[in-house]
Amino acid sequence: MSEPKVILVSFDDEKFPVDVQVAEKSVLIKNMINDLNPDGLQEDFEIPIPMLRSTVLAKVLEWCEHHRNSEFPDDDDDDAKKTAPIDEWDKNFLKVDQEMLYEIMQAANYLNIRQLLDSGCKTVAEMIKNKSPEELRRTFNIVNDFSPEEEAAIRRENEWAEDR
Amino acid sequence: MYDEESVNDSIRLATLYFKNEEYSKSIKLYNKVIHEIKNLTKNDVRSIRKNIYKLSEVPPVGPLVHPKLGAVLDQCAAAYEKMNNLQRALHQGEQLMEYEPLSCKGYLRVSKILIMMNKDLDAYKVTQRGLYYLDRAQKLYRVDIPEKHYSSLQARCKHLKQQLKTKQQNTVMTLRSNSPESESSNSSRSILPAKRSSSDIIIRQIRPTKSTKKTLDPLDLLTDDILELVFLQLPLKSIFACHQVSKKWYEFLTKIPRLYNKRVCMREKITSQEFSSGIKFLSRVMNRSSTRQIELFRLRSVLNLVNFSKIMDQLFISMARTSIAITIRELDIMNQNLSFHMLMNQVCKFASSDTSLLAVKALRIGFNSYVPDANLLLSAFPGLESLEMVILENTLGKDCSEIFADHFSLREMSARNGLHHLSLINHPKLRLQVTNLPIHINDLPSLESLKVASFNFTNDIELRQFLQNSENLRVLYLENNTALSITSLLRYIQFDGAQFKLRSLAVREATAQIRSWDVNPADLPQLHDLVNLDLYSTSLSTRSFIRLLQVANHNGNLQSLAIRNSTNIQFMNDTLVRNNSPRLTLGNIMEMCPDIEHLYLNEVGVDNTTLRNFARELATKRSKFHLKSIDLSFCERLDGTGILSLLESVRSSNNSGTELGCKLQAMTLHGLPIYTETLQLLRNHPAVDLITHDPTRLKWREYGRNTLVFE
Repeated sequence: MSEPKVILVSFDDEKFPVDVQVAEKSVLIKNMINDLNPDGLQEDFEIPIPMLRSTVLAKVLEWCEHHRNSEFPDDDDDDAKKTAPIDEWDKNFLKVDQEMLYEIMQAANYLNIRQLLDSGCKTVAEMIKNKSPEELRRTFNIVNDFSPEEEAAIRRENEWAEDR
Repeated sequence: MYDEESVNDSIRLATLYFKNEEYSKSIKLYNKVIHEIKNLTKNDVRSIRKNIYKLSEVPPVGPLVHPKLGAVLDQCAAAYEKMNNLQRALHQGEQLMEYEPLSCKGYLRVSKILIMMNKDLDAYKVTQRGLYYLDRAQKLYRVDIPEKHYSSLQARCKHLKQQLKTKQQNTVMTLRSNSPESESSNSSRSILPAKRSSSDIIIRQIRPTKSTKKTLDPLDLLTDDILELVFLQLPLKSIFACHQVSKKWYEFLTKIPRLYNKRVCMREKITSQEFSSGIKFLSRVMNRSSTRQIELFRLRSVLNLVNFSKIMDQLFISMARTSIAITIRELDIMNQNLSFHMLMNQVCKFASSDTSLLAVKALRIGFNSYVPDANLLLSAFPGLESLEMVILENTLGKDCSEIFADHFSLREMSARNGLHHLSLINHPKLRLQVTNLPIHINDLPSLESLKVASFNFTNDIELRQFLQNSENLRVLYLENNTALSITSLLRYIQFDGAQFKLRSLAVREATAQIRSWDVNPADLPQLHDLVNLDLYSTSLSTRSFIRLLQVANHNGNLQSLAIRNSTNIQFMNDTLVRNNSPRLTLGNIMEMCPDIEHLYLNEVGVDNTTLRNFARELATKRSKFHLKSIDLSFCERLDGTGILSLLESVRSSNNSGTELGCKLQAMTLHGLPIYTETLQLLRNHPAVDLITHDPTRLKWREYGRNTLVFE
């Protein structure tokens, strides 16, 4: 008899059987399993995740699978978290189109997978860092709705700050 | 008695009724048949399947039922459906799915009824389930599935999926267009007339279908809490670039005080106009924060003195406004225009119990003249935990403490228990004129760290009292002071009965006299827990230094040792012995303190011979070392060959498998004459990870960088 699996069911009803250890990378799922199976998992356990499309759920589970044995520092030290560079594997893993990236981040937030959300946030932050306003608009398909006067006013507002 | 023929007759009759649109009659008959064949015993069903229909006794998948049951249920459901009794029809259809899981008909029927009931999602799930079972059955049991039904089930599934997808996107769009509107309504203090009209929402809703360019704006596609996490990763400069992207971005970002209050650093040569708009902006943003607190506020150079005075006014006015004051946790002002008098004038505008001043926990401040009595600073900022005062210019200021003393008389207390860190840094040229410390350190019993640079200790009573009373002292750093030698310091600590246990001791002396000192290592417990020992231009003789090292490593905690700019401490090298004083080998040091991880030997008599000797010691001694980094910068008689021989021995001791060896993580070799080829050899050497080498640097001491002394 093999270990019981957790079967995650996406919005479009695709089923993803995964090991408990993998599913438990999500704090939400971990809590759900523990709450509903106080004596541990005896048989396969189905959890519907109606918030997620199968493509997104598949991506998220790929991450959980890769990091199944990863030890993450448990501390909530904000500074350490902020300065730590993005995990190299995560960096490549998140080289997806922007919509997918956002959906993965929303999913990580919903499922409470802190490190995945963290890598996602850093990826988006990298897309923003060191870009001019015009480059940012191009990156995100945003239309400039400022008048030239308004834009100048906003620029003047921040001339006090150190240029670093 | 059961009669298969009469059952078949009933079914035929019911079908006729159905075709004649006499649905209730047909339903009645179907129900009768269903009742009859469902109540057959299992044995009967087996024999019927085998004898009449020539089937296997038991179906490969699903429960054992009469072979006609499925068809009858389906037709019955169809009749209910015609009569628009969808609930009953659904019930029959679900039974069909249960009894004949491998019939496409059940899934088709139920999904059709669910669509009629406007339950698309449920219908979709049914088709999914059907396809899943059918595929599996085909794979596992090679069951034949009627092609026609199967493909129409597939088509329906696909169609439903498409419909649900567009439906979901539409709802998501609607939700997202609605949510930011409700939040931005309270952004009244904006400089922009950015109220969104309700027509905007409609435009944004239909845009996805109209426009070919999809929106990739993270502000539309991520929730606010995630966006906040993203922008918290960015430096202020990037945040300000984001301000100019669009009105929505500006509105969103300026609603999050946390993005702005960490490090508020004013640019160099700032004008009072720029400063004023900065303060206005920060006040507006901080309005949304409950604490209104800035973690660090830093001001450096200002365009000119006139601008500086205006800026100081603005800064303290913004801290003083009672209702909307900004509080600052760490205030850092280094400016050559700032006099003590000027600062105290600003501070006196505050009521003596003002929370804005109490909120300042750390003050780093530079004055343009020497301050005879800086105790007033502690009265003015009664919440201080850390104070660093730097005298930036070579002038003596007049004592204005009496002018301000009245204002703070209520808060003049004899001992201040809140202050934990104190740094007093004098201008080096004032060192010989100034004899007293500007703050009574003996009133500060809670200090954990004391750093004093460039003072004159002709009168050392205060220091002695301080050492006697400070139980919490962990870090003592004394640099470039006159009339205070390491030997007298060590004697004060020993004989005045100091209670503290130091972790870090740095004594960077100003003269190169030689003094001897001796102690029984057990008699100086204040230094037994030292982790870091740092000596510069020390007056200790070699023998005294060895004794100090024995004291410092008494409990085996010493991890970092620095000996710099010393001619008094003699190393074993290739110069002739002047007298019979002892000479130190690096092996001696490592043997005395085997747990040392970082060794700094700069501007000392270490040469190639010293290192070769060390290499030999490593090869013969049988103890384990933990050295991680060694800094040999500015040892002028040292070159690449000596360093190479040291690395070779480290490697060979590694190879031989004995426990003497260690791999170095870093080696620093500034200012040493090393040939490019040799340097390459060192960089590629397996016994060291990282070599740092800058041949253009001339000496170890870089004022204000690796010292506390500014010049």
